[in-house]
Amino acid sequence: MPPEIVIPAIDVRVIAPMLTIFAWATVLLMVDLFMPGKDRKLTGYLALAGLAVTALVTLAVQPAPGTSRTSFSNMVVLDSFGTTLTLILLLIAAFSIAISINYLSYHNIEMGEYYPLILFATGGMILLGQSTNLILVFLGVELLSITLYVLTAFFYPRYTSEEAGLKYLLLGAFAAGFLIYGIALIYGGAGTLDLFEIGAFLNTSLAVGSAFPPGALLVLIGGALVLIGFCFKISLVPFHMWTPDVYEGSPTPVAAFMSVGTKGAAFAALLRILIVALLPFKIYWLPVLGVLATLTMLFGNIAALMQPNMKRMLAYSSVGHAGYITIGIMTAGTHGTESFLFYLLAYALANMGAFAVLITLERRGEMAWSVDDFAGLWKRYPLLAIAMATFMLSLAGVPPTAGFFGKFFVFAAAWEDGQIFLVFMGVLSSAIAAFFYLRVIMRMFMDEPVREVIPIFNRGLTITIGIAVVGTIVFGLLPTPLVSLVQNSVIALGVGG
Amino acid sequence: MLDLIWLIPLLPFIGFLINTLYTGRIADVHTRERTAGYVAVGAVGAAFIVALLAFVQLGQLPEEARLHQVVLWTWLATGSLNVPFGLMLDPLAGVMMLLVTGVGTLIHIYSIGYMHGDKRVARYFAYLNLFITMMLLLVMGNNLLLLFLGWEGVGLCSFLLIGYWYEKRSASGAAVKAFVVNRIGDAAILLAMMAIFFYFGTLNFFTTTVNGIEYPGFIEETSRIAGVTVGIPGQTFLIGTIISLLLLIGVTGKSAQLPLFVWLPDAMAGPTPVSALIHAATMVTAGVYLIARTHAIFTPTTLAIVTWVGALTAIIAATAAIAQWDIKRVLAYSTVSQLGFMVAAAGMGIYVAAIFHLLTHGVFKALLFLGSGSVIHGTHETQDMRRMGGLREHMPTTFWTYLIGALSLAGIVPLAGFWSKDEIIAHAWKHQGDAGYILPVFFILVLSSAMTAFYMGRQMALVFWGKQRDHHYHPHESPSVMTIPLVILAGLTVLAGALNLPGSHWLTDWLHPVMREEAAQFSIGVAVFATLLAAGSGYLGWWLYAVKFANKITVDGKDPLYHWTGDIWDSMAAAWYFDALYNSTIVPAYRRVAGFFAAVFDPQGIDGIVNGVGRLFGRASNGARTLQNGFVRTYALAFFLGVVVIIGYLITAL
Amino acid sequence: MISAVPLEWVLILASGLFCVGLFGALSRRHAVSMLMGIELMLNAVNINLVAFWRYTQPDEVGGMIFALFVIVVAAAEAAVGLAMAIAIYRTWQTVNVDSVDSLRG
Repeated sequence: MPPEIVIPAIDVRVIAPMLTIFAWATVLLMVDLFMPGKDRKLTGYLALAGLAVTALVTLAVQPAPGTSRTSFSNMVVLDSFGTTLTLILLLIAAFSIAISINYLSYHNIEMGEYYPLILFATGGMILLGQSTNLILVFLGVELLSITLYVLTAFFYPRYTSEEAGLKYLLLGAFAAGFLIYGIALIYGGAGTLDLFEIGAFLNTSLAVGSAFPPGALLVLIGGALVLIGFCFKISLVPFHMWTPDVYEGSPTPVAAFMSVGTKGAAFAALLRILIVALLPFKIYWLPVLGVLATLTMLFGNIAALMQPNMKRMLAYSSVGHAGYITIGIMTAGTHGTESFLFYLLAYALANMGAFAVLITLERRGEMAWSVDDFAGLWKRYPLLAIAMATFMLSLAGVPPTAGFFGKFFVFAAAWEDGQIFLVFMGVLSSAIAAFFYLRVIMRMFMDEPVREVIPIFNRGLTITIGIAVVGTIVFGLLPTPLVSLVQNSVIALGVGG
Repeated sequence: MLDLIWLIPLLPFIGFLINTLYTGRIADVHTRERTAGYVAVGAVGAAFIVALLAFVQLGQLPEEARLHQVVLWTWLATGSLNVPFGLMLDPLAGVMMLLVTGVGTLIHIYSIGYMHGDKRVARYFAYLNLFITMMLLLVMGNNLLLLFLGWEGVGLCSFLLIGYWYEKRSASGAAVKAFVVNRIGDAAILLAMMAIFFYFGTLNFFTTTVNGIEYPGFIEETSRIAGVTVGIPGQTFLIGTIISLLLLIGVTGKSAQLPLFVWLPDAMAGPTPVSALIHAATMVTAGVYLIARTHAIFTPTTLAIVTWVGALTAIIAATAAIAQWDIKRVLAYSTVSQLGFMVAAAGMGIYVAAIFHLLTHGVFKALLFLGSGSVIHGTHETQDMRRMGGLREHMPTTFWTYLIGALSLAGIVPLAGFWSKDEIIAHAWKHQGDAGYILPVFFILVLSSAMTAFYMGRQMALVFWGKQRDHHYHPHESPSVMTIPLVILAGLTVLAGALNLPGSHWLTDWLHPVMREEAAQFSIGVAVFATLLAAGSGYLGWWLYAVKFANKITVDGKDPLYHWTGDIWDSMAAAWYFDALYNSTIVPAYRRVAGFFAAVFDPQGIDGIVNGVGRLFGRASNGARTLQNGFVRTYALAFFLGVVVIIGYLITAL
Repeated sequence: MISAVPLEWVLILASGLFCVGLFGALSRRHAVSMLMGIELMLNAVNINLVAFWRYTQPDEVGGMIFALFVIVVAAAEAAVGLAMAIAIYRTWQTVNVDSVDSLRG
């Protein structure tokens, strides 16, 4: 007897943001084909317009605070959490495109498909943040991964870029294998791919008796593999080893995009899976994540200490930050979720800004971004030096920057949750981390220039750096509006505020 | 006026902005230097005037109403937590604010002369103004978060100013050292803040009204944690003890106490006015201020530790100061030692005496540092006291003002230092029965006090008496822009004791709303004893180096006392090897760990991982050889090992 | 048929295949061979999915559809992977992943 397929009721509003961005990307791909000349800046501006339109659509269909809409047999959900996340992701994508437009032509890799690829990846991230079904989680992960493989290797024929692309692809596909193996096991154990139903299944099957039912065991092992698949994306130690290589080899705007966008989306999806589906297993995943977070914070920050290459230093620092965000995820029952969103935005601003500053100093045909290039920057370009110092201080978590409050909220939530050991490790590792962020400041303010460096400024870079600086300081001095925004978006997730 | 107290930190900040964004771009060197100096002095001076007016107005309020809070905006509001970006003015913040802006203004004026001809002077004044802003936020913030902002901010400015002359290798090294050491303390403060937030649900010091809603302050609610304990089974601690110990760690970092004092002597690599302002008068006293501000949380257990930390710091630093040749290092160790007095006073529960000593010390130590700056300036960057000698004829103003400062530090009647130090020592004597440790602390403090007089006598003799031992320079008196601040500070040093004379005890009354302390009892016996001891050992120090050994001091020679003390002298000179201890234990370990990780991710190092892990895994999977030296595959292998460990853990955890 | 072959056997086959793929991915130096190993891992998952669907949830389409998705995604991944292998060969003159090692540290 063939299974009967029933077309479910469809609420297009739920997928409207994704629909917009995918449609725009597809059309843009076509438009770009017929665009005359070699100049592809117009495609970039059109992509920015697409992001703006998507943002408007997102705002137009946003649900009332505290409510959520589901559709497609509960496979997709649109709630305030998703909306906030989508807006953050769109902002990240807009930054990435803004810093790319002149970068591509300057480095002779101007090809139109770059921008649609970023849009597709952004769409994948949005999907990841909104899906409540493991099929869609998998689709979202792959959508953003495959586009990022291509973007990583976009610096053809620069050989490091190709190498980075290959490494990322091989390891990414390897990780995806574990991810879907895990999903398959969950499916086998729970008999469903729906996150809510998995949660319900676990609650009933664990409640029955003292013996561990085989179905739940499958879900446990499967859940661990899914967790590992995500640990790869968010680069937790020991699944992080691709991160520095890939960041170094890929075009700098792509590295910036990956370092915050991928992380944000993957964390959001992981959060949903852990909270909605695997909450009954909290006693199992909590210690695992705790150990991983501790290792990640220590490893990432310690490895960055002696790193002379700025891009790799930022990569290791992003590994370290993944550890802090993980603490936010772990304590999601209390204030963890809002601290996660706040941290994400603060980190996105500072990291995007730091990468943008790196781009201003990146010269044609060069592959090393030495800390030496920052020596004496204050003397020649005081504003650029102040901007970079702001980003470094925010990443180090020094008040009054947004980064300080990010850490403060994460640690406060963890303390409230009783994870005092993690707070200690977090504070300890951020004390270590301050050292290498400070080294950059020291080189900028207390050194003579080592070699002639002429920064390249253009509108996209200036605006991005400007917004990032202002955002970092404003959210440091006035975090309250942002806090209430993330609080409202968390209520809808049904995990408490 | 009281509602305008936000102007006080804002004015120096405006000065900072002007000097950063505008002054640095002036092409003409002389115009630039002059503009930078005038802007900076104007900004701080204006802040001082506003502070003075606000202070006077505060004094006109009835005693119990002397707490004025100005909430600028809601900094942070989440759930029940409401942290305003708010400033407050109460008697304690008031005196600190006056010290910071008042001494700050004088030091800014002095800097115009001292930094004359420096090529980055706009930067110097910008940092200095930013420092004043941050310090004011620290003392005027009405919540712990704002205090922490100032705390980190002054640390950053101190770092930038210590490393200001980065061409000197010692300067950037000292800057990094100061930052790293302080980082340890700051982490502890952050943890303390988390704990306070968790147990009190607020970070405000006092009840604050924001938009008509009252938010409680933790200092007024310490009963909430009375008796609350945490800890492992079998060993519990009062939560108040934990929080206050964390705060104490922060204090030892910022106020250069044991065991974290090692950064302060090195910090002397910065310009001398910076040493005077930041590393003597203001920033380093932030720790004492913090204890005084949050003293309600401190439990008897912690207070005993605080007392011991202070007393031991006082004696260790005093011995170290005796054996220094560098004119500024003597003063640096002396500062550490005097901070030890303040901390010990706070530990014994006499916060007014601690603040009194903080204020008088702020004045006379600024005087001494500026005087040493004048000496250094007049001898063409000479800092080694063996190369000086006989300067009192060449630099009369500097000599007389320095003498006043030295006598005050030594504790000679009737100068400021005598009154404030005597209050601490007398208290220890009178209250020796309160706890078993008070009497030993009393003796330690008396001994440190005698040593203080001794090393100041030695320094006076070496610098100003005898004959000039090095003729490579022609000493000259400093310009009046430098000597006038010296004279003003010397005048203040004479008068500052009046703040809390035994008869009037104005400061005790003034701080009564905050500290609720009784006036200290004056003990004529202790006072006479301490003065005679100070005068005697000070004279001994002077006599030994100005008369007895006058001819035995040579450039680059050993100290005459070395002959009798030998190794002990070396240990003193090296501050009992705390630095060496850290250098031989913690620092290499830290470097090695960092180096190890750098090496692991290095091309060569990665082979090591592959070899090690590969052999292990290879035997099991029968493919050892093919696994070696594969980079992508190494990553995949690490990934796989992660999978194995996690799944293994879950299966065992079932 | 269901009674003839128990679910466990199919699962064991799938996990065996997964391990073969895993071993290939870990042990091969040729980029394309590594990709093939990974594809084997994905196919093992497909077997799992289809088996779970057939044995436990034959009335719903979730597992079967998922297998289709996996196939499509695997194809896309393979396409990008092969393209990348060609690009690597052009710049590096080799597809031996052990030789492609300029990024490290």
